[in-house]
Amino acid sequence: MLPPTVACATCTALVDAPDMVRGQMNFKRLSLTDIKIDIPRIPKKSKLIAAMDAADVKNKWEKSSWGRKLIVQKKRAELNDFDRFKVMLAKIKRGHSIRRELTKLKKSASN
Amino acid sequence: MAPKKPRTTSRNQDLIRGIGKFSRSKMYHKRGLWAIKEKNGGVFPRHEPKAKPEKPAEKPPKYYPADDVKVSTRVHRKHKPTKLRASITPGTILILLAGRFMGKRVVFLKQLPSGLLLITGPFKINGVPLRRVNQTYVIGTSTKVDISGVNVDKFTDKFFSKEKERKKKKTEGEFFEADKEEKKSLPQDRKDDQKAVDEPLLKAIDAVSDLRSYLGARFSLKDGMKPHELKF
Repeated sequence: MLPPTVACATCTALVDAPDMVRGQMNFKRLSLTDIKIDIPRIPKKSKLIAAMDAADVKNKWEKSSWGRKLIVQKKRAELNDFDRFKVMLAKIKRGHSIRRELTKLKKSASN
Repeated sequence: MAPKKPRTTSRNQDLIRGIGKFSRSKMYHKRGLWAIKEKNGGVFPRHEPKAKPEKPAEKPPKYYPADDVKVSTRVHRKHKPTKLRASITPGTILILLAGRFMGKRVVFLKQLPSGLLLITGPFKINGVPLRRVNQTYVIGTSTKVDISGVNVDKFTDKFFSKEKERKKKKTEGEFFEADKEEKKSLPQDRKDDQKAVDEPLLKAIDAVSDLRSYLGARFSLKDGMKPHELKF
């Protein structure tokens, strides 16, 4: 998740999040998201956390396609061999049902 | 009075490390060894060596080797038992990495005294019989089957050793018919053993959905799979 940033005159940003220590980071290492919260300049940590909670940042991030992708990647990496096999079976099943529906639609379209 | 505790330190205290306060002869007197000797008629008490059973008279050898033959020294060292990998416990599903059954997923039953792993397919599912494998040629997965109902006590390394065939002298007629060898077939008791092990195992496997088809499928690396990053 990307922490809220405060732009400075140099190429670095002051970044902070509930689970990290506040510090500078180069903009080259950061990218912007659409999520924005209202905070004063240099807020206290407790105020920052409260503001992030109020703006529902975590949920918004996890619902965004980028955040979802990261979650899925993590889940995929944690699968064991048997789980991977089950995923493969589910994919086959999904393909079958899609094809069945497709042929149905094709038939009805041609009639 | 409480019984006297045996002393734990030496009477001969160290002056510096390695050099005692008293000389050897002084300690001899201090320890009272002379008194023991006195009592025993001038010698320390000792056990008489046990009488050995008499050896039968050895025959002189029939021939003597012309050259000096080195006698090989006997090795007394014993191999340490092989350590089983922590990821492998009875009931673990293994992936075989080498040999005929490469890529097959099989069930681990127990470790044999030789250190090899006793596995079974089960035979009905993927064609892997009761078999021994080295744990280096195996990946242990985190999937486990309940094998509490399986009795594997009778399987030892001897179970898998080949029966030695006696060489028969062939008559001339048989010599020319050497090609007509009997077709080897698995003895019935081996088949029965396989069945006895697999039957309760199959029940346990069928209790978990998709496990049967999982064991029936071979493992292989696909595009984009990084084996060092995979969790098994």
